[in-house]
Amino acid sequence: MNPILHDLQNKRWIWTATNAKQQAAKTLLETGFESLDNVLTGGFPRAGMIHLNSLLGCGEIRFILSVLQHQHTVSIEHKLNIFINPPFDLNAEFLLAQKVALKQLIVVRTTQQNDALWSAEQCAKSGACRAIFLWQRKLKHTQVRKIEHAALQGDCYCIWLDSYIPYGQQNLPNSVKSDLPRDLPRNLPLSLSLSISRQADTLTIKVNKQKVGWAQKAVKVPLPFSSRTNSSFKHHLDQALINDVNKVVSIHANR
Amino acid sequence: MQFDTRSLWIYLHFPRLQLDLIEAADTQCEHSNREKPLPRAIVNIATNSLQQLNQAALDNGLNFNMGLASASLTCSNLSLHEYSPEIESNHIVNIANSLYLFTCDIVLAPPNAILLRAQNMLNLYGGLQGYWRVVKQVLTKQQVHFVAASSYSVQAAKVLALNHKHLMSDDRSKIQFHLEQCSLSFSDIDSKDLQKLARIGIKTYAELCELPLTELANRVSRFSMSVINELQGKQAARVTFYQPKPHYHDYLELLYEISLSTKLLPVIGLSLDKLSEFLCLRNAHCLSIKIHFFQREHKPHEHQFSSIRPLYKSSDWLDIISLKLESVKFESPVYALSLICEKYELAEIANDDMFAQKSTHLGALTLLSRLQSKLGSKSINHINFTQDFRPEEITKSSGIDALAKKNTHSHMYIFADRPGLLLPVPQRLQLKVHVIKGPERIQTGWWDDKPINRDYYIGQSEDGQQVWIFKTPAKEWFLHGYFI
Repeated sequence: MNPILHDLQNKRWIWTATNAKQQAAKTLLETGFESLDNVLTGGFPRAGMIHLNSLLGCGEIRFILSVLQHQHTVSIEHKLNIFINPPFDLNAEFLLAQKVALKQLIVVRTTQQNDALWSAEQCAKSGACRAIFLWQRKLKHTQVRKIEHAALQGDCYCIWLDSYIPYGQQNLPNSVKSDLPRDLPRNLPLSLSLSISRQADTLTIKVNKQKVGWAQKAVKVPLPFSSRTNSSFKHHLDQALINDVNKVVSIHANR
Repeated sequence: MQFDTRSLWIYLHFPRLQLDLIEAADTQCEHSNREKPLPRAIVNIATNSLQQLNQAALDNGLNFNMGLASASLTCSNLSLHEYSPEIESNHIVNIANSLYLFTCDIVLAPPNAILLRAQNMLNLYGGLQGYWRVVKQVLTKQQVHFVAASSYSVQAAKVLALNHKHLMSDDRSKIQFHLEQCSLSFSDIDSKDLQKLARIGIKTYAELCELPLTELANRVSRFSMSVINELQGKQAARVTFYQPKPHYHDYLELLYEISLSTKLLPVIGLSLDKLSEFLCLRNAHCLSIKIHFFQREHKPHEHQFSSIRPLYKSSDWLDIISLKLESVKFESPVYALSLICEKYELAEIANDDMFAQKSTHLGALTLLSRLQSKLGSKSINHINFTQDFRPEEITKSSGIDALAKKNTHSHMYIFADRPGLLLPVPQRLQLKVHVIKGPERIQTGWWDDKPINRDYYIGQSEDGQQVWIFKTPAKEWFLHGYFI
């Protein structure tokens, strides 16, 4: 064998289909959905940078938090959750409902993109964080590589929220795109890249990139979070009222 | 304070303290890439004469008390510095601080001398020789030239040292022998009285002793008489012992002016090393330090550097300082800096697991300190929950200094179905959505000036986006949040 290849294989930097089953060992974090675990050949990586492409407001944070709940490390409750440049104000009530301890939560706001990336890298590297949520529009290869490396070193997740809003919807902050989903960034050294979209009660998750495993079709998973906003709720309401409200909304929206 | 006349005193005289300081800084900064040191001299502007000379200057034919003009004629590459008693006075405090670790009774004699009461240290170190070896080590480490003399009175030790008698002995007859040869001109005797004594032929201590005391008392003032009594060991000196200050202050003059903050870092590092040593000896650490940067043309910059986690290591501090200095621009070159640490606290003994440090509290505090020093404390916040019905009032952000503060609510009522992101100001709804839940009326806040009256709904767009919208009594629709 080529000595370089041999060297790389010794370092386990090369994945071959034959040892797929072996590598999908206990080192992965189960997501809680069998179908998703199958696609991911076992689950989320133990640490690293995760790219999450979605429409803003389709339950992307709740999905991630539900997966992170499966972490069972002793010191996990002492670790910090860092939110870097969320597009709007975070709501404490929501976070409490998601069982995120506010004491362990830090919001970082920067004016410069460089500062945001620097913070993300520092947080990831420190080993004091559980997860870093970074809202960013675009990242370059070297930037991703730095953060990915830091996250692996610090044994934490850095979740890159590549959220967008349909064009012309609102006055948007810098960290959110306002156009239709374009081509996803390719060849970035990420641990995992997912695209999420939502239809009524299911999430469709497409794995864009993972370090180990075959390319797979998108999977549908039920909403991972308890929500009263499902269809059964409607029955409690006066049907007439709903019709009325719908009318009002559509009139206004069409104006 | 008055002391007995049987104590042994050591007088330390530093004849070229300022020069030593400059040369020490020079070798540290440039690692002396020159083979030969340059001739260097300290000039006393008041008398216009050379006061301190290094060896190279002496080799070039310069002499003490030489005028400035003749000095510059003799030696063309002479580098001159102005004499400043303050610098010397400040530095003897530093020397006293380092001596304080080994000896207890220290008297400062500014600008360039220190007195040690050796008597009660002799038992500890097993005699004068052992004690002196320790003191000498400390002084050598400080890189200063010194003349030392011991005697059983303060005045006598001073006269011996200033007469350049290197004498380190507790033998009374030996001390007496050397003292007799000494000129009186270096003692504290009034200069008028010295003249009077010189007129009757008394110039040395031996000659002074020949004259009966009553004769002397008729000729000299009362003050001079008490000095003479001290000199002869008949009267004790009045001195005040030095006590180290509880706060740390260091002033460092740069050898050349620096305007780039990155170039300043090594210099700050030197200063921090001293602070670190200071704190380490006291088993203490500090939360903030202040550095003044003195600028040539402008007012001094004052910067406060603070850390969330108490620190003492100079490398940790340098890390924080370098991050903050990145954003600092000086208007004109910096010629000196001072480092002040006003408050320090004793380190608590914590038996941390060495391997768990990565994930503990400590790591988090270090991280927050770093973020804060680079981005400013306003950029990093905690989120607090306030019990209120108004969505705008529920979330309050607070600085991370309140990290220790616990949430005081014993029980919190949390509504389900609240969005994760709230718009700071609700915007008019422009999105086409259909309502999937609602209405939920929030009509409250009449007690302060921010009443609201809204009917909230949860809306979902065709793309699966869920938003929190509300309708005002005027039937206007607003977007208020996203369910992330």
